[in-house]
Amino acid sequence: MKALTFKSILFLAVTYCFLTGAAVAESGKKPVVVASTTQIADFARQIAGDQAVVKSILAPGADPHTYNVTPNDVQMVLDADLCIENGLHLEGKSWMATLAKDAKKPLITATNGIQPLSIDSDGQAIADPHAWFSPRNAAVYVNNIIRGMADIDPGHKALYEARGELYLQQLRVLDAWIRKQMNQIPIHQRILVTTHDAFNYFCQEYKLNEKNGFLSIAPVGWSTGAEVGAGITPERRRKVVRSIKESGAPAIFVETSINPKQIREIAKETGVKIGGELYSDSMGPEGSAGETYIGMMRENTLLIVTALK
Amino acid sequence: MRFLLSLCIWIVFVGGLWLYTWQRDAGFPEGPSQAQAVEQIKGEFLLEITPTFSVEKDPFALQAGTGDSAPFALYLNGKAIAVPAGDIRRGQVVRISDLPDMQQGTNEFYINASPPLAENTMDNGVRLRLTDRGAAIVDHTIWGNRGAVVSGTVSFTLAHSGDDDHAH
Repeated sequence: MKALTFKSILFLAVTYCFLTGAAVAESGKKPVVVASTTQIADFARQIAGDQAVVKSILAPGADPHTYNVTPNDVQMVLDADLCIENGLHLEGKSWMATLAKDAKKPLITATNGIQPLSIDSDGQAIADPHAWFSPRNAAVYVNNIIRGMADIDPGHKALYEARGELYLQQLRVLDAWIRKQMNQIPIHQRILVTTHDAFNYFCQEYKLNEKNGFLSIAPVGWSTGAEVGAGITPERRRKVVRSIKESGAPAIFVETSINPKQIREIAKETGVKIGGELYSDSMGPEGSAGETYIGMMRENTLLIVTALK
Repeated sequence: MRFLLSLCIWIVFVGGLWLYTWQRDAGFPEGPSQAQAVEQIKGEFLLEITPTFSVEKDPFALQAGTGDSAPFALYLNGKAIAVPAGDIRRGQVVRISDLPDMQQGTNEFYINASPPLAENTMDNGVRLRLTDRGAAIVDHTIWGNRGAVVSGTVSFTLAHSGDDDHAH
C-alpha cells in the first residue's frame, strides 16, 4: 500500500512537472528568424523587438557574393521558423534560397516589389542587388519583413506593424538627412569611387557621379564573385583611372567587406587620397558606429561628404 | 481501491494547486472599471483643413493592407474621418461638416499627411480650424520639418452645450 501511494504521488508529481514545464516552454517560445545579411537582420530586429529571435548568417564584414555556407548555417536554418534573403543574386549561387529549400523552411525575398536598377556590365544587363542603399528601398524591405513575420506569428502582428511603422519613419528622416548632407557638395563635385559596384542606388538617389549617369564608379563589377559582369577587368580599371583623372575627384573609398588592395593601387597611381572605409555589403561589428543600418548609412554619408568637401 | 486512492491524491494535489493560484491571483488589482458614459455634445461643427502642400503617396508608409498607408489620414477621438487624398491640395481649404460626435471634456484630432518627397527641403504644415456656429474652437497648425510627414494631435475641451468652449 505504501509503495502504491508513493508511486501514485511520484506519477502525479512527474505529470504535473511535465505539464507545467511544457506550458512554460510553450509560452516562452519565440519564433526564430534567420536572415542572410547583416542589413536584413537589422531590419528584422527593429520589427521583432523581443517577440522573436533574429540571427544573421553573415557575420559583420563578410561578403555575401562569395560566401560559402558552413554546417553551422545549415543547423541555424533547420532551427528557423522563417528565412529572409536579399535576392537579386546578392547571395552568390543563391545560397540562402538553397539553405531554406533544403530545410523546407519558409523564405521571403526582401527585395520583392523593388524595381531593380539595370546595370550594363560588359554588354550584359544585370539587376543590381544592392537595393538597400536607397532608404526608400529599405522601406520595401521592412514592409516585406513585417508581412513575413506577421504570417508566421499572427498573434503579434499588431506589434510587428507598430514597430515597423516607427522604423519606417526613421528611414524617412534618414533619407531627408542624407539629402541635406549631400546638398553641401555641388553636384559636379559629388564623385564616388569605390571598390565594387555597390553604390548605384545611392548614387541615383543622391545624385552622385553625374558624368557616369548617376551610377557607381568602381574597378570591380556588381559582384566580387565569379558571376557574369562580376570581378575586375583591365578595361574597367582603366575606365576608373580615367574617370578619377577627368573628374578631379579628391578622394576614393575602400569598402569594409572587400580587400582594399585594388583601390589603394589606383589611389597611388592617380595621386588621390583614400577617403576612408565605407560599409557596403555588410554592416559593422557590434559596438561600431555601423552596427545598424541607420548607423551604417549615416557614417557612410559623413565620410563621403567630409572627403569630397 | 487503487483507483480511488489515486483519484483522491490527484484531487488533493490539483485542488491544492488551484487554491494556491486562486489566492495568489486574488491579490492582483482588478482590471479597469467600465468606461463611464460620456455626454455627447451637439453643435453645428465645421472643420476646415488647409495644407501647405499637395499630399503624395508615402514610400515610407506601412503597407499593412489596412488603409494606413493612405497619404492623408484624419481621426477624431479615434474615429476615422474620410477625406479623399485628391482633395488635399496646396493652399486649398477642405471643409468637413459631417464629423463624428464630439464629447464633453477633452476631444482630440489626429492627423497624418505625407508631403511630396521632392519637397524635402521645405517645412510643411496643415492648419486645422474647427468652428461651432461660426465661432472658432480650434485654430492650430501642425508642422513637419524639411519634408517630414506632418503628423500630430490637436486636443481641445468642450464643456456642456451652451457653456464656454476653449481649445488647447
